[in-house]
Amino acid sequence: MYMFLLTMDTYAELCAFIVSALTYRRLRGTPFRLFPFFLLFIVLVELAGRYISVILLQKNAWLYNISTTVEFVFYAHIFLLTLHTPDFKKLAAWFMPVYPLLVLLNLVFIQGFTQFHSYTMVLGSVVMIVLCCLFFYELLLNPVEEELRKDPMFWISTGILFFYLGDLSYNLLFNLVQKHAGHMSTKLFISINNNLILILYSCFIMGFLCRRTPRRSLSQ
Amino acid sequence: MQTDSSEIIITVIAGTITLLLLGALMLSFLFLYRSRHRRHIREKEQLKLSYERELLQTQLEIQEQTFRHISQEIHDNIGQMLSLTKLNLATMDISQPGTLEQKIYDTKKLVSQAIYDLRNLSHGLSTDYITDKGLARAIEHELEMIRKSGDYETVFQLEGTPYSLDKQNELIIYRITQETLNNIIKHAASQKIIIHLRYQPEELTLSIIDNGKGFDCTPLIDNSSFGLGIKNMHNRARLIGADFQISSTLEHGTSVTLNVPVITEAT
Repeated sequence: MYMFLLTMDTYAELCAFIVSALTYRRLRGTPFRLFPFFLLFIVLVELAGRYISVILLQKNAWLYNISTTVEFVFYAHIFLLTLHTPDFKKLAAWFMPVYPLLVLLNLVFIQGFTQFHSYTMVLGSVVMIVLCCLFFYELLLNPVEEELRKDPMFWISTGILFFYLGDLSYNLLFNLVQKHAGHMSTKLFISINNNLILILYSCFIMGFLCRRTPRRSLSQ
Repeated sequence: MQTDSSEIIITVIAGTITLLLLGALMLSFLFLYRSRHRRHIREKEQLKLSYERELLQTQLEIQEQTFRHISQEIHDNIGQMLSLTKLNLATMDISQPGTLEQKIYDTKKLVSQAIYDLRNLSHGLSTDYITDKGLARAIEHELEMIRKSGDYETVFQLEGTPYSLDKQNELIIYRITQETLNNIIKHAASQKIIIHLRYQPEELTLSIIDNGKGFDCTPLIDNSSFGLGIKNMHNRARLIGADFQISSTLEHGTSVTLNVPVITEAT
């Protein structure tokens, strides 16, 4: 029963999934076509994570180790499709296969499967921030006339940037927080993370809604 | 222990806030840059549009001036010659061979002159004349037309080797010259007009000087009120990046100077 007492962040994820599913027709044929499936995965992970921790009273770090790895690879894939500069694309392309390997190495040799992979999380966050900066840099170099508000990738990058920037300091000090702050660390994490999730998925929703349907010409 | 945990929590919160502010700053910079860039593009387009509008207006004015000149020439000169030719033909008497021969000779001469004048007129019919013959030749031709009227003594001085400027810029310089000459004819009451054209590698200087009655330049210096014609000349000079100056002394004449910077095109 507790499982269904969802928090605001889960509702935000659910909303983002619903909006992406409803706007799927517009997302088809764009780099964002996989978003509904990705968001469904995130919602399921969130529900499963809650079930494991609340109902089964078990540690769910292993689940989030998998889901965050998938998240990073998915975002890198989106950047790979939307960035234009070959060198920038190369970074995203390299990151996609290398990152899961690094996570695996971290879990096997350093942090263990039952612990949250904070080291590789920091690495992933930094790469995501860099990719967002590269996207914004491209926007600076090629300031097309279209308004930023109407560019879905602008919203998606903004969400990703704020989410990982906000999470960075917590993840950087993760071990220290766990060691010294004890019970406070979970509260701190939840309060920071939940707000960031709200920002992230609100930005995603904005991105899906601002996406305009491509105009059809009269001859079609 | 308690202090340690509080410090860490404060560090995490401060770090989070700082990084989020950094992100906000980055986005603000992006928006600011793009908005400035768009404004810059809009201004550039506006400038281009106004340049094109001014250029079109210049072409129309040159055309109008040319037509006025042609109409005047046809009426005052060619028309007169053809009327004389007609008169000659009408008064020819076959029974008087002596005067007939003279009249045929006169008529031939009149027709030849009319043909010559017509050819001269056709030269100035289009603005391509400036492109074909060059700016210096076109200005000289304009001055020659004024000299032919018999009311003015004209001097054309050319210094340096003429080179071609951008076609549009040459049109504008030519139109400013025409407008200045018009002003001299209308208001200066002068007897002499001097045009000095100086071709230098980095600058082209055009000076138009008359010895007319001159005028009070104070309104020009104050920039408060001056005629539409002078305003137009100022604006057009600015459009091609030229410096336009008028100096005048009462009873001693006026001098108009145009300094056009020469931009060497990379080949």
